[in-house]
Amino acid sequence: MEILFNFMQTTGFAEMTVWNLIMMVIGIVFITLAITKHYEPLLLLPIGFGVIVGNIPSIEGMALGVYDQGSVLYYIYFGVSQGIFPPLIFLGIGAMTDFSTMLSNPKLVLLGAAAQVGIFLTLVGAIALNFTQAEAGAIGIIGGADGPTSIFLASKLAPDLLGAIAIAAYSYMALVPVIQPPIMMLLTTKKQRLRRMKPPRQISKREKIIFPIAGFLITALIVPGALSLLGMLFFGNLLKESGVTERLAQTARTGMIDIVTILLGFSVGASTQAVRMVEINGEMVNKGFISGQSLMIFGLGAFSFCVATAGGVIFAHIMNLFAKGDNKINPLVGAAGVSAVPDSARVVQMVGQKEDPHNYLLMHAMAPNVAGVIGSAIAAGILWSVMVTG
Amino acid sequence: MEFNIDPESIKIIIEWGAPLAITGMLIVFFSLTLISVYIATLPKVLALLENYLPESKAQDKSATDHKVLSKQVIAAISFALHHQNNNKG
Repeated sequence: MEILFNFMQTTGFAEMTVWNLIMMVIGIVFITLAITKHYEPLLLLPIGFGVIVGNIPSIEGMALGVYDQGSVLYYIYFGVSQGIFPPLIFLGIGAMTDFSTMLSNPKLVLLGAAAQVGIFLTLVGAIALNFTQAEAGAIGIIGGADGPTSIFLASKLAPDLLGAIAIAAYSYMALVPVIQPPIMMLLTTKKQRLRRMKPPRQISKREKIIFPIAGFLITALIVPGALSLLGMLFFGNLLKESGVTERLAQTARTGMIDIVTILLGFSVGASTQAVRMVEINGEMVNKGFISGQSLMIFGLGAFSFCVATAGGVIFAHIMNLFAKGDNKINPLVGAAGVSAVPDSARVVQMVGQKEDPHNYLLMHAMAPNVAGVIGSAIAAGILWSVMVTG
Repeated sequence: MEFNIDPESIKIIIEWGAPLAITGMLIVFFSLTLISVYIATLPKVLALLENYLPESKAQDKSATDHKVLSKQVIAAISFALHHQNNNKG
């Protein structure tokens, strides 16, 4: 009986709190959204299940959770905490990205730059809410709308906030079709939304091969902090475009990225323990997911997406002041600078087609969309460099 | 964690946050403008290179004879089908 009694004390039921249950419900909500609404299912489902796993109360003396050294989850989470998984995902993204649309209309690259205003204004907002500078940098990157970049920078600058930042980033990426259209409609007139753009020019194979090499050299020399992310992105793209490493490109954009996505999503979800007491300067501080900080991060995340969308659209208007006739940009395309590839480009297509079903903006929107991926990685490199060098 | 904006935070924003935001945006714009200029210039540079290493020849070297074979195969199949149809008729 004593053995049975002692065993019952080690069950999850004995240590379960209301907060664990709340987190499990959140995990189930994520899984439900992934399956029924198809909201970023490749990430929300692993994250959702990871949340459930991570909120099973751990037992003292047993290494079970992601923060317990020696546990299986700890070693899987190592790829997240050490910033290994995000560059590998970028390798896969590079191997599946076609930069042709960007190469055919280089001025649209600037829309990808403009949308990164969401990152920096959110950083300012985070400081106003009393986050530390490093935490503000990690929260600001949510505005880049790039999951791997957000996780990469959070692992470097604010590991304790990584769970909340990752979930905020992926949740809002899934909500891009909900967040962006009202802002796009607000900042454009019907006449502007109807604007048709010149068809993109054909890109030669040689241009496609040279671009990843030159693009990497330009960006990595300016911002070495972005080296691992952009290096992998451009390397993956070179594997794809060279034409002689199709097997490697195929592996990078299928098996490899799927494996990393599974491990990353699951372990990030498992890291969102409801309550996690950590001793800091002799005081026990709650570094768990359920805290005022997480709520503020979610609020700042929504703000960052809105600002990024508005930044891209407004900059398109500014560019049109200097363009004439056929060279004018449909300002809706500016919203695609938010680098949720390819969702924000699809949103541009959808909003444009509501006005004119024969206006095909998708290929034009892909240019700032992929430029935004590069832009958000550059911004991450800048923030990391600034925080490290002081 | 406090919700109200305290003067210390405003000071950090003015001394660090805002300058970082402006500088960061400038660097992002500069980097992507450089890439944009490079992309716009590349076709002109490649047009000059075309005199020394024409892309059509380079593509033919890397491509297999798949296209040539395909036309031959298609021609052979067409002839065989035509011949068969004539014999049936």
